[in-house]
Amino acid sequence: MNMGSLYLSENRIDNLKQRSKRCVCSYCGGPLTLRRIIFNDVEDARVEIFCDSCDRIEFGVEPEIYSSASNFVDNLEFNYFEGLDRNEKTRKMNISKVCEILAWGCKNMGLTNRGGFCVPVNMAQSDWAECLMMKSADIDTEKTFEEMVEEIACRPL
Amino acid sequence: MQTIIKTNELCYKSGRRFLINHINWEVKEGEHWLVFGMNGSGKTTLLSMIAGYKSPTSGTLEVLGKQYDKEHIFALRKEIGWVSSSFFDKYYANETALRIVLSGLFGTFNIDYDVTDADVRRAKALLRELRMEGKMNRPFNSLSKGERQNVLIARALITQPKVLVLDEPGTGLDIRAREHMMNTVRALAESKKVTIIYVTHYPEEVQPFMNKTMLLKNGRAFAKGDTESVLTSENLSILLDETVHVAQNADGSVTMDVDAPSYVADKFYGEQVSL
Repeated sequence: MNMGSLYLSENRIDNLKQRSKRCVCSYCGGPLTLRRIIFNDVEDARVEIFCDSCDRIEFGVEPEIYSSASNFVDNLEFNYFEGLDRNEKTRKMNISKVCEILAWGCKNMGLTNRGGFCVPVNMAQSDWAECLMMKSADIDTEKTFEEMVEEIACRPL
Repeated sequence: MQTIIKTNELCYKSGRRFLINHINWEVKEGEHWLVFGMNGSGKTTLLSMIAGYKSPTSGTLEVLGKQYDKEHIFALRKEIGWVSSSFFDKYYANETALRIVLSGLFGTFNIDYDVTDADVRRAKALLRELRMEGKMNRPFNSLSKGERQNVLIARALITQPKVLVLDEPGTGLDIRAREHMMNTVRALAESKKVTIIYVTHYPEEVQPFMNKTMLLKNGRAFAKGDTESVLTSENLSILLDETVHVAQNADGSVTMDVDAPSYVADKFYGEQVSL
C-alpha cells in the first residue's frame, strides 16, 4: 500500500475537485459533484465525490471509458450479473463493471494516470453516435428526428 | 503498556443536549473493552468520534498519541477498524460491497486511484472468508443486514488495524454468521495484535477476553474498570432501570436475567370499562 503523501488533506481535496469536474458517474454517465457526507472539523475528511442522480458515493470514470462501456453493454449484450433480472439497474451495474475493467486496463497500459488520459484519445465515431446529447439548440422542427441525429453525429468531436 | 485511546472531558453536543457528556477514558494496549448501554446512551456517537468520523464539540481525544487533525486524520482512521451498521447504513446505499471494503484502505467513504491489484485480491479474500462470494459487486442496499455487517467487518479488517471497534456486530446476523463473527473476534483478541472495543446489547456475546467494561448511561460513563467489578447486578440494575441478576460463570461467560414485566397484552385486550 502506498498512500503516503497523496492522502495529506491538501492533495486530496484538489484531486477530488479535479476528478469530479473531469469524470462522469460509472453507473449513469451523469455529472459528479462534491458533497459533504458527514460533519467533521476537518473539511477534507468529510467530502466525497457524489452522483446526485444515482444517489451514491462515486469515484467516477473518464467519459471516454463510460462511452465505450455503455456501447459494449448495449450493443454486445454483455451481462456480468446473470443471476439478476435484466432491467435498467442491472444495465447500469454492467456498465459500471465494464468501466472498472476498462479503467483497470487503461491504467495498467499506462494510458491513464491520476489526471486522466495521458495519450490522445480518438474515439470511433460510431461509438459516440450511440449516445448523442441533444440540446434544445439542436432541435429543428423542420427536420425529421433521423436527420437531426445524423447532423449531430457528423459534427467533429 | 502503550496508551491507545485517551479522552479527557470528551463531549458531543447536539443543540442543547449532550450526547456524550464529559467522558474520561483510557484504553491501553492489550486491553479488550466491552461497552454496554441502552439504546440512545451515546455508544455510536462515542465510537464515531474514536474512529475519526465525528469531531468532539469539546474535550480532547487522542488515538495512538495523536489527535484527529488535518495532518493525521486519514492515517489514524486506518489504524482503527470500525464496524458500525448504525453509522454506515446512513451513508452507503448503492455502492458495491467490494468498493466499500476497499474504501477502508484510505480511511474515507470512497476508493482512490491508488487501489492496487494486491488490495483488490485482499479485499476479495476477506469477503470470501466472510461468505460474501458472489455478492461482491452488489449494491450495499441490496444486501441483507447480516451481509452488510460482513462487508463492514471486511472494511474494518483490510488495513490490519491496531484497534478494532465493533458497534453491535452481532445484530442482524444469523446464528452461523454470528458464531463465525464471534470466532473471528476471539481469534483476533487472542492474536494480541489488536485492541478490541466491543459494543453489544446481548450478554451471550460477552466473552472472557473482554477484560474491561464501560457502562454508558445518558452519554456519561456510568461505571468503568475490570469487567468482573463493573458488570454486576447492582450496576446493571441502575443502568437498565430494571432488576437485573448477573451471573459471571467460571468460563468467563456472563448470563443476565432482566426482570422487565410487560403489561402490553393487558392494554391490548383492554380491561372491562364501565361507562
